[in-house]
Amino acid sequence: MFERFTSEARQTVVRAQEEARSLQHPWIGTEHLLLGVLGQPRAPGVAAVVRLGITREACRAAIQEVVGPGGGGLFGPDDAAALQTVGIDLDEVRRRVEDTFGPGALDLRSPEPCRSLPRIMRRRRRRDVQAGMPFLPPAVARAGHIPFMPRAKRALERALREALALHDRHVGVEHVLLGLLDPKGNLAVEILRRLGIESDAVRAAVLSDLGRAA
Amino acid sequence: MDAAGAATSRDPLVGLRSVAALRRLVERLEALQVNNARRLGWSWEAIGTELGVSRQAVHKKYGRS
Repeated sequence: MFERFTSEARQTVVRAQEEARSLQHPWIGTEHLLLGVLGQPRAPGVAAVVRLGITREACRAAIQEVVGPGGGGLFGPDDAAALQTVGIDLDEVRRRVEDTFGPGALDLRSPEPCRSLPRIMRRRRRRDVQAGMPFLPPAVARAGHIPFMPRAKRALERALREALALHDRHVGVEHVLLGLLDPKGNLAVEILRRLGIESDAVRAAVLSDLGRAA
Repeated sequence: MDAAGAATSRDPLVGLRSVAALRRLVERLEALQVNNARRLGWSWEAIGTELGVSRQAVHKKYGRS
C-alpha cells in the first residue's frame, strides 16, 4: 500500500519503527506514527501542529506516561535488574535474540503459534525439508519488521483516503498526520488530548496550513 | 551487587525475584526455539530429545498453541 507514499511519508513509517524500538515497544502503534510524523517538524501540515505546541519530545513523554517504556513487553526494567543480580545482561540477551529472530522477539507477548503457517506453507515446508533444504517461511524472512497494530494500519489506510479526498496524487506526511486523527479514537488521538488538544482542532490547523478549508 | 554473590543472595526478595525472572526468560527462549524448530520441520520427538523432555510434554505445551 506504500506505492503512493512520498519518500518523506515513507520516512515517517521508518521513523515510527525506530521510535518503537527505542521505547522498547515490540509493536508499531499510532503513537509511534505520531512520533514519526513529528520527526519532520517542517513538513507541510506538521508545522501547524508544532505551532500548537505539540512536539515530538512532549509526545514521547506523554507516551511513556501512558504506555511506559517497554511497558507492554514481557520483560521490564525490574526484570533487567533482577537478572543483573545473577549476572545476566538482559539487554545483551535481547540483542542476541533479536539478531536471530527479529526485533521484539524477546518481548512480544504472543509469539506466532507453530501451526500458524497456512496449509500451502506447511506443504512447502514439507517439500523443502524432504529435499534437505532450509525452509524460511515469510514470517521468519520478514523478521526484521516490528508488527503494525491494527489501528496503525487503519491510520495508514486513512492516510491514503485523506490524500484521495484532497485530490492529492501522493500520500505525504500531512496525509499520514490526518490519517492518525481517527474519529473512532486511537492512542495518537489520546496522546494529543493529554497534551490539551482535541483531534478536530489539529485537523483544522493542518488543513488551514495546507491552505484547504476544514 | 556482583554476579557471583547475587545468585546466592541472602535477601530472599532479591534472590526470588532473580529466579522468577530467569524462569520467564527460559520460558521465552524455549518458546522461540521450539517455534523455530517446528517451522524448520523438526518433529516433536526430536525437539523433546534436545530439551530433555518427552515428545508428549513438548507437544502438550506448544502444539496448537
